[in-house]
Formats: sequence, structure tokens, C-alpha cells
Amino acid sequence: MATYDLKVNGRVHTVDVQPDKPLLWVLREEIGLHGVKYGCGIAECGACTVLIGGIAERSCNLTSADVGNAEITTIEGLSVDGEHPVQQAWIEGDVPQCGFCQPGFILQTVSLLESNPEPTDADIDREMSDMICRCGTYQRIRGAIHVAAERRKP
Amino acid sequence: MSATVNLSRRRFLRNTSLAAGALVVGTALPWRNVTASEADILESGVLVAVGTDGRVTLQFTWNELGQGAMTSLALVVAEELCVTTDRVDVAVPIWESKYGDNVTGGSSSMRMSWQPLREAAAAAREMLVGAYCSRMSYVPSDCKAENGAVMHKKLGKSIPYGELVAQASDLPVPESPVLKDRADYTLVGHETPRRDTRDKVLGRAVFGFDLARPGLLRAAFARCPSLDGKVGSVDDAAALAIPGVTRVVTLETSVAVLANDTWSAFRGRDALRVEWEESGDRTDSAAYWSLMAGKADDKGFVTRNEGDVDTGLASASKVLEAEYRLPFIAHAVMEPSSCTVHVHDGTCDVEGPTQAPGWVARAVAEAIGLDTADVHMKSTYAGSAFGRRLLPDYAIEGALVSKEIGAPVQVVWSREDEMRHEFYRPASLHRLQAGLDADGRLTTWSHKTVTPSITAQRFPDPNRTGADRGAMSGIDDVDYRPAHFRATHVPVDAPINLGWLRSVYDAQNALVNECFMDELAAAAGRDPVEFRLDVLPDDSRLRRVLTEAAARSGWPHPSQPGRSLGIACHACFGSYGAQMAEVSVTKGRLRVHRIVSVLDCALAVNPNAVRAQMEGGVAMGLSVLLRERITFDRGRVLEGNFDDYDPLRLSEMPEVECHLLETDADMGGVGEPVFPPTAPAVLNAVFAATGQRIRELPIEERLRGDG
Repeated sequence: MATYDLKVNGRVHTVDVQPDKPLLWVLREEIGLHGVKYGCGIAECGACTVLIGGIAERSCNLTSADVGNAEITTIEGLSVDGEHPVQQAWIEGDVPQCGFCQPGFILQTVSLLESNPEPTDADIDREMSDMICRCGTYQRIRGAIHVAAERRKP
Repeated sequence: MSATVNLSRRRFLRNTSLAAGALVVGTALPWRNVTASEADILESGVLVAVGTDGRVTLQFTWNELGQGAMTSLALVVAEELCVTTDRVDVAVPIWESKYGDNVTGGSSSMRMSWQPLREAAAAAREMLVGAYCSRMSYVPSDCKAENGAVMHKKLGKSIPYGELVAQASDLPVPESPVLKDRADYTLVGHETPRRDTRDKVLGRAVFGFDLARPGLLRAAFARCPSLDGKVGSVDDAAALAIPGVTRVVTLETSVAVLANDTWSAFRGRDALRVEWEESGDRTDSAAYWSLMAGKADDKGFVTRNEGDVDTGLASASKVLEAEYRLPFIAHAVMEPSSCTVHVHDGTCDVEGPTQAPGWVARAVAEAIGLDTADVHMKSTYAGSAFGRRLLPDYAIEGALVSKEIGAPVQVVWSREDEMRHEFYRPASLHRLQAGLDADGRLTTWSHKTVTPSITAQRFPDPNRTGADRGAMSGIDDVDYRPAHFRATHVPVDAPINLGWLRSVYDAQNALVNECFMDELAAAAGRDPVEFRLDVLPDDSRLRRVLTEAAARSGWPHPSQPGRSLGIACHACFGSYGAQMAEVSVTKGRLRVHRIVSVLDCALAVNPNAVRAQMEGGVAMGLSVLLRERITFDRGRVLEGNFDDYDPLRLSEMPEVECHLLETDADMGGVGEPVFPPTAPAVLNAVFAATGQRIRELPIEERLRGDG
């Protein structure tokens, strides 16, 4: 076991875990952040996506040690009450069906818009296609990304 | 009119979340498989309650699986009770045996509850109007309900529902409440946002894996990799050495590793060494296809026979034959299976995602020797379902372990568990024969399917023989009416577990019908739409969706040079769908640019939710067409995770244009009907683009030429 101080959603959580335990399970079961979803465990589906220093990463193939001092943001920490422009775009577009994969897609979008504030459809195809939504909400996700990009403009 | 009763004074309402003092109207759902008392039947049906605060509660007995049923059913109640949707709460009761099977499937939630729900809400509305009239000494014909209150049409004095509830509760339930005219709807038929969206966008929706409780043990299982195997010997030393692992429980067909956390449970399970006693005749995919091909020569069971196919073929100007092969596929639900089970004091509590709490309860009761009445099930949100969550297997596992250790457990499946141990859509091999006359018209049609029966495997019955009705859905009930028609089923045993997957057999059967239709139209040198219309009766609703799909898509002209079109139509689950696909194929790489989808489900209660199902049906149709396939060796499923079973990605999603056609017919389902026509429309467009007929799925590797 080893002790780590993880900065998650603006708070420091001290966890005592196996060093090779994936960050996904540390966030879910040590800290209780259930918006981080387990879908595949091999970074193929993106359900476990979190922001690390503002950049989307798959938490299933990272460990606590990999994160170091970087700030981790999960869906629970993205906003107080859903007021983040990406969440607002998702609500307006009524994007989710089952909803399981959506926190991952939302956080991936936050990361995308940070580096590319006005993504084209081709950019979205490239950046959002190593994730899976089995319900097939892709058309609404694409629409919501464009809406969120428009909202973020100063 | 179904039986509608006033339940306001019934004491047995204690188990609901309905407010005390409320006006409660219950309507029976007569098709439910309920064997309880009349009172239980009534309570297990639709309940609409109006509280003293004027809020309306719908007791909801279907599960929200992502299809938006919760929102749409509340919309119906709000419409008929003349309140805004935000005044309606939805309550999901903990399942008890009196609720019956409670299956959420078959695209049925709305079409089965549409009538009783309106009747219950309209009865409550009339009782509130009645209470107002007796208080004010008015006659009902002068009064109306509006925005949660009753008022005189001219004098305007209004009293809110909440103040009328007590008096209304004493009134008899009207025998035939007058339902609103469709023309007067202000909510039904209008785009409505879903009530579960916000929780899902904020990460607050609770799914099966999210049922954390202090001290809850997680249970991961090693299961026999092939059908019908048993545990032989177990060496659990390495598993028990994993930190966090607390215990190993050996069951008859699986071994459970219990741990304090999910990751340790998975690691412990991976460290188990189990010898399995497997049955001898385990097969592989290639051998199974050979078996199916051989079976295709069997006579099989003819389920529809019109004219004389043999004569029709003999006298045809042109005869075509084709064979199509569709592999086993997986539901690949987004959230692997999970539920929490606690066996205690002669009862069993189950909590998790399900489409059939009654089936779970029955299976669990049988597995651990309880009465079904002693099993209670609380549903969570499901990380997609598609039929996978009709099966009770993960709850049975939990019950067996919880009983053994005397504590609650959470069953956790890894992605590999889910891929290798779920219940697959049956593979099928289809033999088609058809004849054309000298004018290129279809005169003769024969469709024979070789496929295992899900029913036969899931509900074995030695007395059952003949064709499987489900397997013939979309084969023998099609609207096409050539002079000579034959539909045949050759049942075959399945080497792996079978389950119901979205649209069940209709997706496979529609693909084969519609691609062969396209082959025939091409052979006849005819337009594929005209060719189909020849053999569709005048009153077929397929005619309309097909011609609409053509008209609205610009058929037969693609929107841009270099693109090609394909079209297909299919009726199932009470609805009629047609699709036009616009594609291009460049160096073996398929790009689907656009899908124009037309659906006639009679009435779309919430068009927003219906469009979502249409978009999702397109996505799944494409996904299955391109890449999905389960293969097996020695009876063991080979695919394990999303790296070798790769569903559709965002970059592959076409633009989907949805068109809803309204009719006066009975309401149709929406979850399933758009999936079946997608793949054949695309495959027909691929033929138009390349001249290549692909008759075996999945097509991606075959398009590239390396399959």
C-alpha cells in the first residue's frame, strides 16, 4: 500500500491504496466519485474519462502516482450545478439516452474546446472517436459540441 | 375501457410513495401476467394520484432504460389531466410479486400504457370537475379543467386541484371518461425534454455499479467458458493472496472471489486456477457454419405458404437464388452487468438494472429456494439494455453467494466477462429463391431461415416442436404479396447462450428480405422502389413510408456526385419504417453520409424521444453491419473487449434526418423498428456504389477485400 495526496475537484484527498490500482477505481471506490464510469478497463471506450490538468485522460490506465500534483476534474467537479457551457449544451440538446457514457463525452469535449475552441466536424471526428456510446447519441453529441463552442465565445 | 377504480381510501397504498389524502385512480393492465388478487392487480397497474398540494404522481411500472419512457408517460398524464409537465412526478415502486413480470421490452412501454394511462388521468380529471361542480352548484358541461385547476367556462371562478382532492375522492369513478381529442393536445406530440437528462449530464444518475454501501463486498466470478460446464477443481491460493480479497466461494458452475473493492475482486478472480468439466461436443464458428449450411437442405417447417412456389419458379422468366449469413452478435451494453443482492431473514433484496424484475425474482427464488413473493427488486438506471437486461443471470449469482456468506454482495462483471458470458443474438443462414415474370415483376418468393430458437434455449419444453414464431417475424408476416410465397424455418441447436437483442430476429430478416429485393430489382432492371410497390397492397402502410422516404431523400438522385443511394423498408413492433442511405466507397472504405429515415408509429407522443430512438437505431444498424461479430472456438467466445469487438464510433455516424408520419392507427413501438431497415439500405447503396453484393456480415473487412 502507498499513500497519495490527490487533488480532485478542488480538494485534496489522501488515499492509501495499492500502487498499481487504476485511478478509475481510486476515484470511484476510495473517493466515491461515481460519475467516473467503468466500461472496458483498457482505454477503448472513454467512459472513465477525467480531466488531468485540464486535459482529458482515461483513468482506467493511469495510477495515482501517474497523476502527481496535477488537478483532477471529474464530472462532479465540472460545475456546481450543471452551469458549465458544455453541460448546458448537452442539456439543451437532450443528448443522453442511457447516459452511462455521457460524463466521459462531456469531459472529452471540455478538453477539446480548451485546445480547439472552434472545432470543425473533421476535428470532432478525430478527437471524439476513441470513445463509445452504444445508444448511438453521436449526432446529438456533435451538435452539442458546436453549440458549446458557440457559447464559449467571448 | 379497462377497469378503473378509485383507490383513494385503500390502505394497501402504503407501499407507494403517493401522498396521504390524495385522489388516486388506478387502471388495471389486463395483459400483465399477474395472478394476485383484484386489489393487487389494480395496484399493480397504472396509478395516477393528485395530491392535496395539487401535484400529480404517476406510479410508473416500466423501467427507464434510456428510451425516455419515463418522460413520455408523464407527458400523457399531464395532457389528460390538464397540468404542466413539471407538476407531474414519476414514482417507481420496489418490485413485488403482485406486479407480475413487468417486462420492459418489445417497444411496448408507451403503446401498452397509452390507453389505460389516459383513461386513469381522464377519470381523475372528471372527478375533480365533479367536486368543483358540487361545491359551486354548476353543471359539468359549463366547466373545464385547465392548468391544474377547475373553472367555470364563462364565470371564470377557478379552484386549484389540491383544494378539490378530498371531495373528489368520495366520488365514484366515471365509467367512460371522455378522452381529449388529439386536435386539442398541447403536450402530446410536441418536442419535450427528458426528465432524466439533467442527472445524467451532472453525473448523478445511479447505475448498477454505483450502489456503494459501507462494507459491501464485491464478487467477481470465474465462469465456465463454454455452455453447460461445471466446476471441476479449484486452486484459490493465489487469489486469496491478493490484498483485499476476503473469500472464495465455489458454486456449481462458477467460482466467486469476494473482495473489499472491485479491482481486487477482478485481480483475485484472474488469479484463480479452475479446472472445468466441459461437455464433449463443443464446436467452433467454421464448423457451425458448415452445420447450418447442411441444415439449409432440410425441408424445415413452412409457416406461410401461398400459391405454389415450385410452379412459380418453373414458370418464371428469370429465377434468382442467394444465400445470406449473419453471425452471432453481442449486446455489448455500455455498463457491464452488476447488481447488489442481500439474502436475509427468508427474503432476498435485489437492486440493479433490469428489464424484467419479475423474471429476476422468479429465477432468484428458484435458485435459492424462496417463494417469488419473498424477492424484492429495486431498479436502477441501466447503462444500456437492448435486451441484455431481460436475463437474470447476474442476480442469481449474487443470490447464491449472498446466501452462502450471509451478507450483501455486489456482483461485478468485467468487460471481458460481459463479452464472453452474455446472451447472443442468434446467427442465421438464409436461402432465398425468387422468380420474375417477363415484365420484371416479382411473382414468386421463398425465404428459408436456418437459425436457433431463443425461446427453445431459454424456456426448454420437450413438447414444443415446429417453427419458432419469433424467428419468422419479418419473414412470414411481411406485407409483400407476390402470387407465390413460402416462408420456412429450419431450427438448429445453438452452441452458445442466446438472448433477445433489439428487434430480435426482425433485424436479420429485414436485411435479407430487403437486400434480396434489391438484387431482384437490379436483375429486372427496375427501380427498387417501383419494384417493391408492385407487390405491396394498396392499404399497406409500408407503401407510404417507402414512397415518403424516396420523396424526401431526392431518390433516385444522390445529393452530390460520387455518392450512391440505397433504400429499404420494414414493419415490426407495430410500426413501419423506411430508410434511404447515401454512401460513398473509396478504396474499400465506406462512408455513410446521410440517412433519411421515415417512421410511421401512428402517433409520436414525444417526438424528441422518438427521434433519439431513430438516431440510435441507425447507429446500431450501421455498427452491426460494419464490424460486429462473435466467434467461438471449442464452444468458447473469442472476443473479449472493445479492441476486438468494436462498435460504431462518432466519426462513422451519418447525418440522420428523421421524418415522422402520423396516422389514426393503433400506436406502434419506436425502440426497435428503425434498427432493421438501416443495414439493408446501406448495403444496397454499397452495391449501387461498387457493384459488389456482400451477403455475409460484418462487411468492413469484406469491403476492404481482406475478409
